[in-house]
Amino acid sequence: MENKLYTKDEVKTFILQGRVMLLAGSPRALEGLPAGKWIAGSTVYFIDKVGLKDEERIFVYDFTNIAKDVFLEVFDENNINKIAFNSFETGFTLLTIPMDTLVLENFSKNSLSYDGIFDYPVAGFVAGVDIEKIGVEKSVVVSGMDGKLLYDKAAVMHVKLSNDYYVHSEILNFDEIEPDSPEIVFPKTSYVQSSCLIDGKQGNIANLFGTLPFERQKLVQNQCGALINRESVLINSLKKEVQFYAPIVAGEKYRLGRKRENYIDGFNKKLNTKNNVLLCLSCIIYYLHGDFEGKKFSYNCIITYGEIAYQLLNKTVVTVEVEKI
Amino acid sequence: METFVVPPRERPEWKQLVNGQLQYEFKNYAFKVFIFQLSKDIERGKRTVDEAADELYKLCCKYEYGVREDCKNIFKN
Repeated sequence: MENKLYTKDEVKTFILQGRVMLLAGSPRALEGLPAGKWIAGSTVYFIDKVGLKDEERIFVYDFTNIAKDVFLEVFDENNINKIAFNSFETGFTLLTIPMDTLVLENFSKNSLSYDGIFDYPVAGFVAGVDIEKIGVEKSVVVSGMDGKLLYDKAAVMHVKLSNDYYVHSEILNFDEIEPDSPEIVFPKTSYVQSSCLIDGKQGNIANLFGTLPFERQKLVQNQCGALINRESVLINSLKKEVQFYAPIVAGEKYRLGRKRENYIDGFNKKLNTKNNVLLCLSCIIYYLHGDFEGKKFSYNCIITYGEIAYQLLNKTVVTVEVEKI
Repeated sequence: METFVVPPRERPEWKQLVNGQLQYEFKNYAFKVFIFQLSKDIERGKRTVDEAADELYKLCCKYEYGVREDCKNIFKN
């Protein structure tokens, strides 16, 4: 079944047919779906041949053809560290988490230390709403356990595959480290940062960003070859603080970032080199800064408010891919 | 297809990968982040180099298929 937008009635039919799915739609679209083998998160931005906003339809990722079993769970900030405990020996784990919640904060700061987090691919997204409704409407996730809207919990689906599949999660980052960047280290783990060491000397990140054009006010971390973005949300020049979309970790090295390629070209070219992509999630920052709305794409996916591949990511494309062994 | 076996844990390269002596970038994103996390655990005293190497070896054994090219590059003989 093609991964794309479907009407709510079509999705209800799929659920009752027992299809194994990850769903995404507006909070209104996700309300009232029957129980079944699925989880969902809210968003209204999608790529379905073109970039678009849609409040009525629901995007479906369908795994029915390869899923042998599923197990659904719901976690809060007190037990999200156990997310990997019930993963299947061969398979992957999906999760959806509402933005601005304690469960997301715990995950964003600690997930790489969770027991077993690397044993099985863990991927998913942060649920959000129409950007014009942030602060007015709440993002939601839904578990197919009962179909109820959840505002402060993570919905998790473990999917079992047969032993002859190799499944892995990958990322695409269309930014890179600025070659002349200083090394920047922060004293505390937080979404909001101010003082820092810049090439070993005391400095302030808001002051540093203030000397840069908007498109370069970002950090990138090299995790043994994986380039991880830390995009800034807001610079408060009065308080000399920068708020980021994901936490900056104390003691770790960051550098300034820059755009490496056109986001639309990068998205289309890179995804076309991949086979057997089960799931593809793209950050809303690419959608907005890359001017995706109305543009044509060769890959369908949902647009998210944070992506997850073992850890919280931003301004990243996350894929879950399978190969037959 | 030739049979591939993850090299034995006694090979020194396992410890070299986690303590930074051997710089190698795995093809798979999970392994990049896993080694990054292991090296941080060693720096913070949360794991010894041996314990970190054990964890890396175990994960490579679990994902033998996905790391075979990496292992051929790392363990040259």
